[in-house]
Amino acid sequence: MLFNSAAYLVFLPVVVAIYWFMPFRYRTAFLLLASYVFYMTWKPIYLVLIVALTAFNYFAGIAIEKQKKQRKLVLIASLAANILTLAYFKYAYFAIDATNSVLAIAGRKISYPLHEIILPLGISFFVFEFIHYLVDVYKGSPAVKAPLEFALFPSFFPTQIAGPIKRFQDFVPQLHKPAKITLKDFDEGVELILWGLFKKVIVADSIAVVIDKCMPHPEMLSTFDCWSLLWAFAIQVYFDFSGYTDIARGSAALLGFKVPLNFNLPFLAGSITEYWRRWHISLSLWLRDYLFFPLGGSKHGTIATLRNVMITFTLAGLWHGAGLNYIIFGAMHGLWLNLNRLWRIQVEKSTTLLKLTETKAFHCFGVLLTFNCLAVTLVTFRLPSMELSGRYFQKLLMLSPQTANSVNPWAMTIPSIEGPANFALFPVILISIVIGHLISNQIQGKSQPGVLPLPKSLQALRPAYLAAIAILLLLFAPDGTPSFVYFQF
Amino acid sequence: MPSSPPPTLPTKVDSENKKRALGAGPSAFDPTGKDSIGTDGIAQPASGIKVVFKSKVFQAAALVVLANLLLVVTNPFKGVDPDSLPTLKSWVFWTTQDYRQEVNPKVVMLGSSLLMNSVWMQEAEHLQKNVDIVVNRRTRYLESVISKYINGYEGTCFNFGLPGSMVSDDYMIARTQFDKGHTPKVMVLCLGPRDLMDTSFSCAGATTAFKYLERFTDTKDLLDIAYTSAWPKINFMLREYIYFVDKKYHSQSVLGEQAKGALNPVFAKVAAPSAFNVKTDFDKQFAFYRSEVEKGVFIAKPNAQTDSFYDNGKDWKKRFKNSNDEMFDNQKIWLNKCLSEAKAKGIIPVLVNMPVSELGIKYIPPQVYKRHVDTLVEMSAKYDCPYVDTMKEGKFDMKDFSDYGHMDASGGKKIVDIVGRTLAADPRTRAALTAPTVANEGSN
Repeated sequence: MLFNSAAYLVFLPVVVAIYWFMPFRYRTAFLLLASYVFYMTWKPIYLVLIVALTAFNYFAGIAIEKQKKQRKLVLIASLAANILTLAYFKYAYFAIDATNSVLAIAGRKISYPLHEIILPLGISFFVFEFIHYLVDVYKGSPAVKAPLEFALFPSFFPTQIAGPIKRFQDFVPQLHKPAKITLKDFDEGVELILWGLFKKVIVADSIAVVIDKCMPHPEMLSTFDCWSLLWAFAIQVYFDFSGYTDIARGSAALLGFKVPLNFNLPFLAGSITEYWRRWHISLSLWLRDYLFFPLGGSKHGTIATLRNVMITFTLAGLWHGAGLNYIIFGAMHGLWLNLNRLWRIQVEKSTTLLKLTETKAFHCFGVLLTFNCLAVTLVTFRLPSMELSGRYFQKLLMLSPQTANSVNPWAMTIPSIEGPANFALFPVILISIVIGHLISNQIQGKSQPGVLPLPKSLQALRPAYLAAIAILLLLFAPDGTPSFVYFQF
Repeated sequence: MPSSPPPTLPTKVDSENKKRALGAGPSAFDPTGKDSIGTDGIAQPASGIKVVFKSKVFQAAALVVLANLLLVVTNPFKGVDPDSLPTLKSWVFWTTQDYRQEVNPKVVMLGSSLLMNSVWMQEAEHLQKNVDIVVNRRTRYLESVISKYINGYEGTCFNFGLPGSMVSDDYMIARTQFDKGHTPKVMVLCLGPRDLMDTSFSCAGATTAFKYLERFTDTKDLLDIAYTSAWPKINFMLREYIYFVDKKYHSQSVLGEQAKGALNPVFAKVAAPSAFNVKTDFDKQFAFYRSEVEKGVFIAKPNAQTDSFYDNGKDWKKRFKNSNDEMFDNQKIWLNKCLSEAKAKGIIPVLVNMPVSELGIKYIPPQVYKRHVDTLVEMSAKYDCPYVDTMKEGKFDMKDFSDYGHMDASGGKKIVDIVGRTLAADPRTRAALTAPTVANEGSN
């Protein structure tokens, strides 16, 4: 069941209504049941997987807590079980395929049989939550004793499929207080859901039409088109994923739960380091706590830090999907982060550079540079074939061989494409999204650096603003239910 | 274990987020809040109404309802010719445009791409010139075949075959297009097994043709058979009561066209032509799979008979992977309605069982094929209309097919020959075709 489906628009109000009219002691059980129903609407058989993993980790957590001598062994064994499960579903096919390719190159006639493995929805997210749980229990946090509460932690339906990645210390205590829902929570929840749907349905899906048609065909585009598409794709992914997160947070709010923020205007980041503090925050925190720190963090000198960052982000790339393209995507982020770190070391040594970096002009330059660095990493993220990514990079860098039919590299051709209005409107859509997003954040009362806040009187426009969003959704909602980009991970 | 944060990691923002996550800050979860609308599952009706009115969401909802009422009352789209509204330039759109140019055609052939393609290809052979099926649907070859059997025959014949068309679409054509000045004497319903049970469709109301044609008529009476599952039905009801949903396509089209109209002159100056607009041979060959087409994309050339065969076995198998009894029963109702509609308008329906290639028939379960043929026979008896089984009448071989189901010009020729012969031979259709045409005749 997708958040942007009609089924969810019925499922959520029904669950919310029953939840609040149900005696407190039954609410956890009811939410668990609802979450399992939500999961089963996709593929009932994989409910067995999430239930089995939950049971395993429940007992593993208690065992780690109780064990005096063998704690580390139990932790390692249980972490291995989780990671192997993830690896099987996510990477087995890729690994066998890669092995067969290597064997073929080596001239061996042996090849291992390939069976298509359907990736269980949300596995990357709930396995990360289990790992966090086991490690934190090992470090001294008390294990969750109530089985239903523990079972609800990974399966909680608003965050089940694509996060945000929760921490059990934040989530489980919320099950203990007999909460009331306030008007503020209700309004905030509905607003978040509306705004999330708008981001997904109106913005991300409109851009997706152009991206899906054009990006796989770099030979038919100019260099300028290729850059525009990358900017647009960055915006699409942001609106798609942050739209999903808003709906998740809004749904949770209607049930009286707070789940972590995942985005904080990432495209206003002045550096790639800052970008990762603003983008997919729950993942970057997880990577820090459960990968970067255990690798040694930044305590062992520059070289070791650079290495740890590289390993962390390459693995983060692999977490996104099984494929060389995702590994390169992650490695590029690692590279940008390391270059940024080396630059900051230089800045700290030079007063002139320090002053320069504190100017507004430099910040603007930093924002543009960061956005473009990020955009470049999205080539392999979007295009699954390395050969195709290679051709796209060639076009981006004007390295494609010129022929008589080559498009002028500086030409803008996308608005000329015959088809839906999206193509004709392409530049307008991109510009208006940026302006519209800034204004809507102001109306929602979110401050942002470098943007003047709207007068308070304009806050009274909020109902009209919400009504406008609802009307736009009614007018422009597609007939189908396009999937979210991050559902595949 | 290191404790200092790495360069990439959140500090201040993070701690703020964490606080928020735990319920602190401006969006804090407030269990003692005055605005609480429930406590431990027990509603508080006394303060409930006041609370609801204070809600920004409620105020927004009230605004939406008001705007909706205003639009329902004023109805800015009222009086607008539905045909003049911008729409997706789909096959049904072009064909309807072409059909509206025909005054009282004598014969209209209805069916899916199995009919459309083959008859059109044969048309190019017959005329010995290029024929653009997007804008030229008249079938002069059928006219010539009928003339061969009926001396002095006059009248036009029209190929209303549409890619992916189901019987329900045929009914919608008969209901909305066969009106005054556009009522044929004979309606030839050319049906293959797919047209009654295609497994790739969810419901009758989901096809592009149905969505386009329903703008010409009020479809309330069709609700139960057009939308057989709950969601499409709910969607239909929403359209009935929510103006924004009802006029969704109109609004999208109008806004899209206006935006294009305003921006295209600007971009014509600054944007270069796109390579995406150049249609490849592949695009042209498989244009019937596209939802939107344009003039010139699908042109049949004479003497273009080739032995090329496109393996669409996967698609074919998908369409027949099960017997889809539910869809079949539903489409049978539409077939009844279609034949009744024709009879009520004074049109003589003719049922034609379309040929299937020897490769294609292997993937149709025998009982499914038998059910299809039996149904056509049963219907022809029930409605007292001619029926012809091309699988018995014609000698089709694989050379007549360009894939598992579609035929090329030679197949089209055989089909049209059979249809023409049948129309001339059957006394009911012969009488209708030889009756003098009165200007502007036809039922409304």
